[in-house]
Amino acid sequence: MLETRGLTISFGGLLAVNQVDLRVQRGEILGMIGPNGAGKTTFFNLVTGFLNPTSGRVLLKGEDITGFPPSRIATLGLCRTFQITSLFPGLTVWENLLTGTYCWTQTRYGDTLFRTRAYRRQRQEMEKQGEEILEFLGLEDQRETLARNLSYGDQRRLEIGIALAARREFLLLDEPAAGMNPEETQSLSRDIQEIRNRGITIFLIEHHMQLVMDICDRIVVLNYGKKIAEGTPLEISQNPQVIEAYLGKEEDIA
Amino acid sequence: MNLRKPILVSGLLLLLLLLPWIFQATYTRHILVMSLIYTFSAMGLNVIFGFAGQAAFGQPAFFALGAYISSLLALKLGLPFPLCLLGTMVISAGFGFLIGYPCLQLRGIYFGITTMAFAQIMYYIVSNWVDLTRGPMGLVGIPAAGFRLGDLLQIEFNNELKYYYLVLAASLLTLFFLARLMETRLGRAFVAIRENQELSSSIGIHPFWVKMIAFMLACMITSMGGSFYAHFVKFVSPIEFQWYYIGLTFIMVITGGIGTIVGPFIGGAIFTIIPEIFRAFETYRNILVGTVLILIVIFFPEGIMGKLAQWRRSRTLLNSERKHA
Amino acid sequence: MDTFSLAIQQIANGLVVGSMYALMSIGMMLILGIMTVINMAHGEFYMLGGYFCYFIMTKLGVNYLAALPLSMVLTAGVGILSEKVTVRPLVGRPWFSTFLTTFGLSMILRDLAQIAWGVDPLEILSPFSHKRVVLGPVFLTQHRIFIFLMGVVVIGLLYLFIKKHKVGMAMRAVVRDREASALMGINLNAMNSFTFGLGASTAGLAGALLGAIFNVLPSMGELPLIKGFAVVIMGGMGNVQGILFSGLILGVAESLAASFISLGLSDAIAFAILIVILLFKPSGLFGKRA
Repeated sequence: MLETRGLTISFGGLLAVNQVDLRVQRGEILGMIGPNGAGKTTFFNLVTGFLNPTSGRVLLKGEDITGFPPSRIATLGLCRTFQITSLFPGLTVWENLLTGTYCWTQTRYGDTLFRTRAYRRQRQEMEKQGEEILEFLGLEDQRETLARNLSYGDQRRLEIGIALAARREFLLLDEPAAGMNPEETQSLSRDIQEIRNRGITIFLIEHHMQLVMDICDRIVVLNYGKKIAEGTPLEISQNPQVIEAYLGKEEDIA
Repeated sequence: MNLRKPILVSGLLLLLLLLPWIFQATYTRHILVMSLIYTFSAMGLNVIFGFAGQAAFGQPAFFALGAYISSLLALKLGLPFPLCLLGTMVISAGFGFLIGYPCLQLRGIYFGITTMAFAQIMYYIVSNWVDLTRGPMGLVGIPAAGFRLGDLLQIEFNNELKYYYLVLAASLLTLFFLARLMETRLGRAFVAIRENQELSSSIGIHPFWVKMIAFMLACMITSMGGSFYAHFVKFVSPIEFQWYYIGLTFIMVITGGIGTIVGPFIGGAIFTIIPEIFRAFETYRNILVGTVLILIVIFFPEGIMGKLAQWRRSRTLLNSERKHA
Repeated sequence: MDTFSLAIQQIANGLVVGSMYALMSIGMMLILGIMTVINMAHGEFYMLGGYFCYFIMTKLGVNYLAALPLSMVLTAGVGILSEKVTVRPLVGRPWFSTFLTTFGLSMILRDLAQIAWGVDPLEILSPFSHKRVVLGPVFLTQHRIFIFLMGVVVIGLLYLFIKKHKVGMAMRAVVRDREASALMGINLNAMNSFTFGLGASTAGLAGALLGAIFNVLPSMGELPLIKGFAVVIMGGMGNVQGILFSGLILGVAESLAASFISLGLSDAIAFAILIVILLFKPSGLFGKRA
């Protein structure tokens, strides 16, 4: 699905992401972890077009998308959420979800003007999807609430909802569980797995170890911009380099 | 269930159609026409500012530009009014593209200031290119709006009554066009960019080009107003580029309700009528407009339609609470 | 006069006017940086400075040199009052709210001036005006030299103030991190009032100084406002030296354009420069990258 080859970006000499080779298989849940500042969000930004790499390439479904703007990458099948809560604050939950459908709706002006059958059909589809997502996320009660007035947990769910509304095959989630309590995290865990079961590939960054270990098929570990490990959750949890990255060398502790 | 809205709308339409018969004085009709003309300014600003969220400070310059282009097309090329109007729309959209291209590289404050700077430059060019525009003396003798279909049909809009209906039709059509536009995915894209540009790009919206379309559309609509103005008043001068109009247009949009569809129409009408009422206080005009602007921004930023939408929403929330209770 | 001498003369004139552009711009920059407010009424503070100076001299019989600080104080007072009415109530609102309210304020102030003092230009009589000084190929009046010196001195004082004085450092702290500053005990309301007052007073000074060359009239603030913005953007936010140089450069560019290209278009130079800089180097000629 997604592949990066030697992806690198340097900011004035500092290599924030350093020669990272990565593959995300279709239909899997891949997790990316690493200490703070390891370059995870920067990596996301590179893959989704918000930053341009200094060298290396990004391929989506085999096609080279290096340097493409985010909007174009989205139309090619990829959608992301952001670390800081990112919604359409002045719109209601319902409107947020409808707005998310941009890339697959094609309402031409003529159709809208005369309310043709094509328009109405599309509108029905959008609304049906909106209802489904509302139900899936448990946000039916909040339909008419302005996004900025939602509770934090609900806002994070809405973010995922908007990404779902875009009907992309590939979802990138940047710290979806940030700031959530154990109950919310459990619920999120279930939701992400359900999303995958519907055929969507998921790539997520997380600090929440429990979540990552529970739901990820594979995990990639980044430290100081370099990939230091890759494997199943079990393998990663036993990898000495990973432990060292998080806790420091055992000798230092002792 | 929802018969209220169509009845209300038909009622208002009827009122609008009958206004010039209720007020038969030429002077009052003149004001009515002018308020319709200025609604174009408000609607234009609303597209770029209300819908797309980009605060462009130079919009009134396009009103003046439209007036000049239309006049020149009529005076120098002898084009009939419909072609002048069309030409104005196309040329203004072109200017919108040329000016928008550099300006939209910037965001927020810098975008606003740059559009303002371009507006000032337009003013200087128009004032100083005396060969073309007669500079400060302005253009006179602009032919009245009229059209003909061969020898069959010939209408000339040379009095307030006829002009009222002409401009009413045009602005209602524009209003309708905009209402439907906001239901297309492009309209949703405008709003998305206003609310969160980064998120918009991650769901497939290309910020630069969507903003550009909004800007070009805004320029086009605003310039239409200018064209109607020129063929009504039959005289244009650089005064139309005045500073005062920037403030006034914003007042119109904000009072009516930023980002609402009907809002600017209402705001435009109200704020042409009010300064006219205060015409006697010509010297105090700026003080009044300035004070109103300050008061509105502080106390009434959602505007009339905005407040209405808020009220409706709280009613819906109340109702849904009652359902669950 | 041959081209070279004309050029030098215009450069000299340009430096004088440019120093005043810089003076005005510093006030705007402080207000923009510390309060995130685009003060559209700044040109009117400039205008009021000129009027206050005129009336202090004519009605109170005070001489020019004493009138200058007095008009600064009065203008500062207007500034502080303005802040309370047009900025204070809008805390937490989007940035264009204060743009609009200060815009409204500028309309009000301009009309008030017109009503109170009429449209006819008034002339401020400076003790320096009539004496000409010759420096090489250049003719300068004593007054112009005075203006330039005042400009440089006041800007220099402001620079030192911001850098060294306690309050100046508090200002820089607020620009850095508003919330943290408040937590550290800086009174944000007092800071806002002070900034507006300071900005207004420097604009007023510029008005009083230039009012003796170009006469005082209600609309005199319109152009300096936009040119002030151009200079702020050229010089870069927070960069006092940058603004000083940018102001001088603009003044000189205008002057040269006025004599060598066309008088009418010299005003447009500011806008053209503004646009070019915003497009190619938004952080300003001298600014640091954002």
